[in-house]
Amino acid sequence: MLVMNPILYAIPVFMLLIVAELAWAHWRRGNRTPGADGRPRPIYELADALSSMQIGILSRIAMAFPRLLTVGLYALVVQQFSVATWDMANPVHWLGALVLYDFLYYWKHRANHEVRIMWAGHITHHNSEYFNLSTALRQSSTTFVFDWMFYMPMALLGVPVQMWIAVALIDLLYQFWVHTELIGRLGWFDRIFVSPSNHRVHHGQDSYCVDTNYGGILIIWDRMFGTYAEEGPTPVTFGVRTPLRSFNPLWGNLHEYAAIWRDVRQARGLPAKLEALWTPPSGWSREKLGPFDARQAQRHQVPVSPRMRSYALAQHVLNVFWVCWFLYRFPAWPASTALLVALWLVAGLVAPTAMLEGRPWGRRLEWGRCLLAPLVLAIGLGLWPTGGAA
Amino acid sequence: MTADAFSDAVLCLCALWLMRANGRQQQAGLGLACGVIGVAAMLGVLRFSNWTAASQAVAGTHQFLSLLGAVGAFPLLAYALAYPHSPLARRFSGAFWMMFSVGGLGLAVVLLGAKVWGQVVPVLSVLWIAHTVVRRWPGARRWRGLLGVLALLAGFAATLLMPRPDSLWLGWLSRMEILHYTLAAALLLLAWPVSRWHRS
Repeated sequence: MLVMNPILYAIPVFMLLIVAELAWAHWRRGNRTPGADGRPRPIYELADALSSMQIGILSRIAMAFPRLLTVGLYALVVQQFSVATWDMANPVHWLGALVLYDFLYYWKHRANHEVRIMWAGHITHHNSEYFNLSTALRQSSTTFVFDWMFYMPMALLGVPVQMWIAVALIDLLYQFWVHTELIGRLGWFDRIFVSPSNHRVHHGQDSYCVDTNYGGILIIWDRMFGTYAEEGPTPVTFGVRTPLRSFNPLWGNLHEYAAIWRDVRQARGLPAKLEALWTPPSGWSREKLGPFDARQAQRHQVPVSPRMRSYALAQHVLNVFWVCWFLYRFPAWPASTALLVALWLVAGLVAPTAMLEGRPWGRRLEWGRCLLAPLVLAIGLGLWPTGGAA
Repeated sequence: MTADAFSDAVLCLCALWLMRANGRQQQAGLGLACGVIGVAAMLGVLRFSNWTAASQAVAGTHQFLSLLGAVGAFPLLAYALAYPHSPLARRFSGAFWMMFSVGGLGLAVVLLGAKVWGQVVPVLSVLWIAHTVVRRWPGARRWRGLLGVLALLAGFAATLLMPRPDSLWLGWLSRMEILHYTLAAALLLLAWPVSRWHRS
């Protein structure tokens, strides 16, 4: 049985909106906006935007596997422990569920910034030094481990799983449009809702920006709990204080875990080892943050030939198609087929970004992936006998 | 009020008092662990009361928090007793997120079918506490700590050896009452703030 995934519909819309923003950025501003040092800086850069979208695609592939697990856990808590029943036909209940979800999202997002083991997953979304609609798609593949726990109060209150999934989707989709430099301040709207202005602050590495504006739809949670910061007169410098310096989507997801592992190994004694997991990334009293000089911040750039750019772009367009195919067929595949196709897709995400960075193994991986393509497609389409129905 | 509800009320009062006392001593980890057990016991008072509407309303939440106490609060209690000076034991945010992560993952394991995890984690925590008491606690505090460990083990033994919830020990105490009273006694013996020991 094929189950339609709403993200399948959203992907083409996201791509079209990114193209529209790119066109707008070029047409109205020549793809330039003033930086913190007064000099113009690009709004879009191909390698960064491709990396962000590849990370987004990777997250959809990776999440296809544990999504059933987290939804199942939520459903089990509703079934076994809930205290009330919610009416799916009542709009007030829907609105209540959305506000409750957004409130819990605030705390989840705050924990994702203030607890290092959770930050290791969420940092993926903040690694980009650009801020455009492609950044919105830069979603982590690993945050599912802890994310579901934050919504247990909803399950205990008896919010049905279908309602939870729907409001989660609304909250997620809302956050797409706020990732842009092209929309300025919006007056009263900025004070109630999450908007491009206050979300730019959230993505900034300037001292006043760090650990602020966690809201999903409503910014009032930040105002209530003291984490709100208004956009200053100087343009925000985007990214994180320890830059990734890579376009590789796998490394973008794993580098902070590697740093934690290093710290855990170096720490002496159990308390110090556990502290490496649960301390805030900037230290208990922000001692690790240090001063910030926007003029010193350099964006990660690598020289790329026009031919390579065209190839990476073409591969990305194909990858969008492949991931839609994967998400559509995934529920009907046996686990072995799903895993095989997923690995092949991941290779297709990693290889072009490695080639953009000039890594020799990128080309070899790309050759191998292309050679395997007919076999993987045959298995995915059920033309190759694997013992399971396609 | 039923006997089970009364025993939960005793546990609730002890645990919430210890939460407050440890909070004042900057022992956030101990305070938080006691707080979760105290809130679960508070809901237990309603659940085991004769008030049917309240009993039905809170039954699920009581079970959930009791499970969270077993797989999240017990490891935190053991850690905070073993390393009372560590930042994770002293800072509320550190203790909270540690319990949240460990408890959440434990909850997932139990929900996915490994129900034994809900018993293994408290038993391992008690063994860790016993190790701490024997190796690190001095003089009279050690004996009180060992009594606390014995009380915890007695409570666990009662739940294992008395499989039927309605069976009575010596025709007097139910399984639930034994668990609640022994847990209350153990918490008082183990998590009583250190400065108060010195004063007494």
